[in-house]
Amino acid sequence: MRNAISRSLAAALLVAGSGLAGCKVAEEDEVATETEQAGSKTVAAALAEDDNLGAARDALEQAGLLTLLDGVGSYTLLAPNDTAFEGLGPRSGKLMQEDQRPVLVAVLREHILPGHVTTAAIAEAIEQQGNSVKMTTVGGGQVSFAREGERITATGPSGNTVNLVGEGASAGNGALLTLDGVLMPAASAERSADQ
Amino acid sequence: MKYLSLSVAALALTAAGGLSAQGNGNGKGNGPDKERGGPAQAHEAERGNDKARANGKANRDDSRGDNRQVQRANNGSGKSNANRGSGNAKAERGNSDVNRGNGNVRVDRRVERRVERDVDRRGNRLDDRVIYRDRGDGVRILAGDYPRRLVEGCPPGLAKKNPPCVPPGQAKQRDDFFGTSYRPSLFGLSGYGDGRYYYDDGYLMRLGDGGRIGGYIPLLGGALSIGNPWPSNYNSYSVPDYYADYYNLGDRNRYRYADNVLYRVDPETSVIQSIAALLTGDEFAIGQPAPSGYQVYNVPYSSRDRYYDTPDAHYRYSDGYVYRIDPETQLVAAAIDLLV
Repeated sequence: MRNAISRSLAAALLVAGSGLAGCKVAEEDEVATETEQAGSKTVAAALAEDDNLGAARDALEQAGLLTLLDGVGSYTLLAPNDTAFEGLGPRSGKLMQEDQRPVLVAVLREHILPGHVTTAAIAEAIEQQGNSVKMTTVGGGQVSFAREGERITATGPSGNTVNLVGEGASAGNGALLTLDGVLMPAASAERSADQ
Repeated sequence: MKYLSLSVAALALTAAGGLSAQGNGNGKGNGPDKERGGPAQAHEAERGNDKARANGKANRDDSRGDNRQVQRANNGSGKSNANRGSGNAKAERGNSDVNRGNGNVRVDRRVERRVERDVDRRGNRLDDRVIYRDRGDGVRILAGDYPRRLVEGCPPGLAKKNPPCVPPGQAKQRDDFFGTSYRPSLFGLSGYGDGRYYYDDGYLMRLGDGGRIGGYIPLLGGALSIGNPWPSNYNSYSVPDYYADYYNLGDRNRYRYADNVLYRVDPETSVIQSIAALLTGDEFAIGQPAPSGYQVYNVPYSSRDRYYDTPDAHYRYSDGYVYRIDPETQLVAAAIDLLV
């Protein structure tokens, strides 16, 4: 009887053990699959999958920059979410007009960083360097990242500050990070004398 | 024509020979050598770490007859003697790459491109200047193409108006996104100098004497939009071959480079097809301080398992290259190309 119980316990433990091992294997497979997906996916594809980034996608398409995020170069897109574009009010519509397209391109270039930048890497850099950290953009400006409590903020060339939202997504040709506001370039302009 | 064919055959032969020799020599060299202090040595040390790539690249270089590439190959061999053999496995991989013939395919493509360029030069159809500078280790890298010059005169649309070349009306200006006038830096432009600039209808225009437009720049998204022909009076340049390969640009007549933007164009019509790359134009020179604006780790996905930050070395990516930076001094210690 005792032997029978022991055998049953042993069998149960074995089953449980193999189950645990199975879970671990499954987890590893999942991580591996995610990694493979990140490697094969492009930033443009990651952008298309996010329902909150439709306006950013439209803006990039209008600007002719969407194919850039489908290409071989590595870029990180700081994508303002739909709420961020709504926050621009009537100016958002103006920005999307055809005659303003170079200006739209200029604004979007300040949202593109060279290489693959993750939220974790930003957080680590802030922790190591003590305050804010800067990353250059492909528009000629820089974005400063800082920590405010639990949030990570991003400050654009014109000095306006927005927040990073969510964890972002990795892709084979870069990364996608979401912002809750639109970064403005140090744009505009000394006014000409006759204005 | 026969002369060209013979040249191609000779180049291909040379390149193939280089491949074999290189595969063997490189196989010995491995492991990062953090002790090396000199700029060129540091560069080569990094390439030693990068085994198979170093093989393929050096060979492609041979096919072009480019001195600096030969130098890189030689350095790699020399280094292999000094290295401790952590990388035998890598060496084997390097050889196996050669055996698979990947390198040969690349060499053939390179040779073909070189011939096409020669034909283009004879036809005088292309502006074939290459914008580059020496990074400090004998490698030519893309340089910002400044100082730039405005296109003289005024944009085609305004030239036809009466009176010609006069800035657009103020009412229209006030309706722009940022309100009024713009400086070139808004559009990622540098090297054009100060002045009073207007934006209108896809062009940035500088006001000259008497309030007339004295010169202009076609803008990305404006005159330089997909579907528009490349403006013949807007200077563009060739880029060093590494960039053509890295961004998969193809032959010189298939792309244009100006103001830190690489455009794909139709080789027959010069119509812009897409934006191939937006470049930072930041200058990383070995032995010099790294540019500001690279405080976050940003190595591309495919290279992150190889080049990751340690207490002794930080790695940062810019315009197709990864650079090793000394965390303490912030000096650029090495440059690594990423073509496999």
